[in-house]
Amino acid sequence: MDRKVILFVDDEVKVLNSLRRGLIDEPYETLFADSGKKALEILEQKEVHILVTDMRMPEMSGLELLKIVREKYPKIVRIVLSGYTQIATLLTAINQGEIYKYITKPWQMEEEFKPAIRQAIEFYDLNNKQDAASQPAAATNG
Amino acid sequence: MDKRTITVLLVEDDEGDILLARRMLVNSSQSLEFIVETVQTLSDTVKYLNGDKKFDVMLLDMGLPDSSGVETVQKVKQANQTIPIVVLTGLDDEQTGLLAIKNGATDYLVKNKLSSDILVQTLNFAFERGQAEKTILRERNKAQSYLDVAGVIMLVLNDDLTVHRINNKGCEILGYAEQDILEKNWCDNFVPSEYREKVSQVLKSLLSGEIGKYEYHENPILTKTGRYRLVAWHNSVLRDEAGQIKSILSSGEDITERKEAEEVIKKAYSELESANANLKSMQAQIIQNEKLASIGQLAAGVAHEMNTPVGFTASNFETLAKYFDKFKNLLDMYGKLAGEMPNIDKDGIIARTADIRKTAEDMKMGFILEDIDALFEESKEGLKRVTTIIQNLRDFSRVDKIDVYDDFDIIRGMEATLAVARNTIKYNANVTLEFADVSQVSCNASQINQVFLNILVNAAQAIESQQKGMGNIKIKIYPSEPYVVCEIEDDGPGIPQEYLNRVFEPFFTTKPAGKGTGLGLAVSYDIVVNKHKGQLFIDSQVGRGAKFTIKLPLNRKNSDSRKEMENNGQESHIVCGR
Ligand SMILES: Nc1ncnc2c1ncn2[C@@H]1O[C@H](COP(=O)(O)OP(=O)(O)OP(=O)(O)O)[C@@H](O)[C@H]1O
Ligand SMILES: [Mg+2]
Repeated sequence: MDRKVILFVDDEVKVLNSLRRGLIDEPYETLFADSGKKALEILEQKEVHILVTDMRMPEMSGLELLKIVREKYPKIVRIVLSGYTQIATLLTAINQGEIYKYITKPWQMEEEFKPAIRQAIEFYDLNNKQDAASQPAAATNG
Repeated sequence: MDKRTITVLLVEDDEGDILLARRMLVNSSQSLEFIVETVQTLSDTVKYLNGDKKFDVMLLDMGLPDSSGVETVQKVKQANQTIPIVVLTGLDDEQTGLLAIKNGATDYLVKNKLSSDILVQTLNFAFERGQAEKTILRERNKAQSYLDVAGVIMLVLNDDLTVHRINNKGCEILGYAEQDILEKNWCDNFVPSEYREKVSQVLKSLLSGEIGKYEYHENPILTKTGRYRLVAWHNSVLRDEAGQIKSILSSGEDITERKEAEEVIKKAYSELESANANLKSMQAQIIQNEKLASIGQLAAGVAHEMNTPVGFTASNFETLAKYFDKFKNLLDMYGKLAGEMPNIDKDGIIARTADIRKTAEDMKMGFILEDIDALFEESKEGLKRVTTIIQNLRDFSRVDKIDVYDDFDIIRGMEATLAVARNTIKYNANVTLEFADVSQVSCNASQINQVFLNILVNAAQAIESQQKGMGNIKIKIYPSEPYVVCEIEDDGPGIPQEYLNRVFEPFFTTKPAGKGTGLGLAVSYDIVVNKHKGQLFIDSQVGRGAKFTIKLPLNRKNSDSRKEMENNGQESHIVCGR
């Protein structure tokens, strides 16, 4: 199977660094963007399978990014990693961004984060095997 | 000058006396003319009195063929109540004369002592008495008819508290005929027993001259059917010529229905009052909740603020543990190799070393070694951020008791508030600070921070609402005796003129439901103006932005004038609590 590509988006570079460190042994390729805009640039150039984004970011918010990605790259499985645990924010993300998982900061790398990514990859594979012939599948409400 | 004409009915059976009297009266006076008619028996007298002719006075001899003595007077009186009677008596029979007066005669004359002058004078006087009595009677009837048409009870009580007079209205309300009321003791018969003592006390006080105090009183009266009617009385007293109080005149209004209506209104009013009070306390509670909500909002903001550094620091820490396993692993491998060194040949060593290097490579040791300093540095920075946030949070919400006023450096308050609100603001505005040296202000620190926060959040939200990207918030703090002034200025959309007065109203908001409750500025106003006796005002131009100015009174005399400070600007307040 192909090596999966995962794109992480957060305006806090230290978060991205800590993710990079934590995931060095994982069997997938990791890409990092510190804004929604940069994330979209990367998406133009590279095939990405999983997107993990923060919600609250200057200029382009996580929600806006999620909406664009859902439109343009419906195959990408979308995950949120955010410090906002307010129901309202959470619900908007789930309903409008149609995300697969909502992980809260602070996160637990071994017990929570890595398994979530692994599941997302399985989810991706499952969707794309099923729909390989027909329409490109969106990651639906998880 | 007109002569007064007096018609006299002379009742006399003695012809000589009749002649004598006539002679005495005819042409006796310049100003009086007497017309005399004579009858000789009582029965004729009665006939005359009942006839058409009206007589002004009666001159009556008591010894008549068909009647004699006082009886004669009584019988005449029965026939006619009003005609004044002058009695003629025998020689020196004063006893009889007095008895006659007691029985209704106006005056008496002794036949033998009779002179023209005395007769004329006496008759004239009797005439006048008669006229006066007629007038009185007329007046009294008029008064009675007034009383009767009056919409109120009119009651005259004698000094023994028996009823002297009562009008129709009184009878009607009590449900008795007049004669069943007159002469009865008022209290015993017409006042409910439980009020009797009090009412009789009031009436006795009136009789003893204590009028002012009891000019007005209310008490129920007892009707014939046993029902109570509440009456409001206005009392006055009637005096005799000597000024002695003889009776009480009371006018009473039946206020039963009015009182009932009043009670209903009172009840409705008090219900309204309490509903209002409930509403107020509910509102206060809502405001309280709002404060809590804003603290909740804050907590969410602060949580996010901490979640990020805690997030990456914790993640780094977890990673570090894994790194350490790798290091141990490699160290083990190197240790083993070192121990076996004497027994292995050169090629073997090279192979083993390559093996270890391969492992290290698989472990991404290159990256780890290169990155490890950054890991420590960033984690240290993450912890520092959390520490600062906690410190600020502590400063911000200085777990003060409500209504405790302490000297407080509002610059520190503003810094703490900014730190706490950083998350809300940083995506909307750049903040510039201009802090001059200011003295400490006697205030409730967490309340003042709350005000700063409300205004800062409003500014950030106002800028955000324009959707034009980052705006600017300028904060100035400077002294301006006797105040410390804090200005918070934004370059957002500003506030339209017509809203300027309304933004301080509770629940006034232009924000979508869920985003604003419209309490931020109302609470701020209460804190600054009412609680701290300071000032809070707005300068705003639509399209340019809004500037909020908070002026807090400076501490004048330091700690011991704390109470005074609290009341500063309200000279009506008394300095207390020293
Ligand atoms: N800096 C500002 N610029 C423009 N308008 C403002 C500004 N500050 C306040 N307002 C106006 O005043 C209104 C009342 O503000 P207030 O803080 O009392 O309530 P709110 O912000 O709407 O709700 P809450 O503070 O309870 O969340 C706002 O809805 C807004 O219309
Ligand atoms: Mg507000």
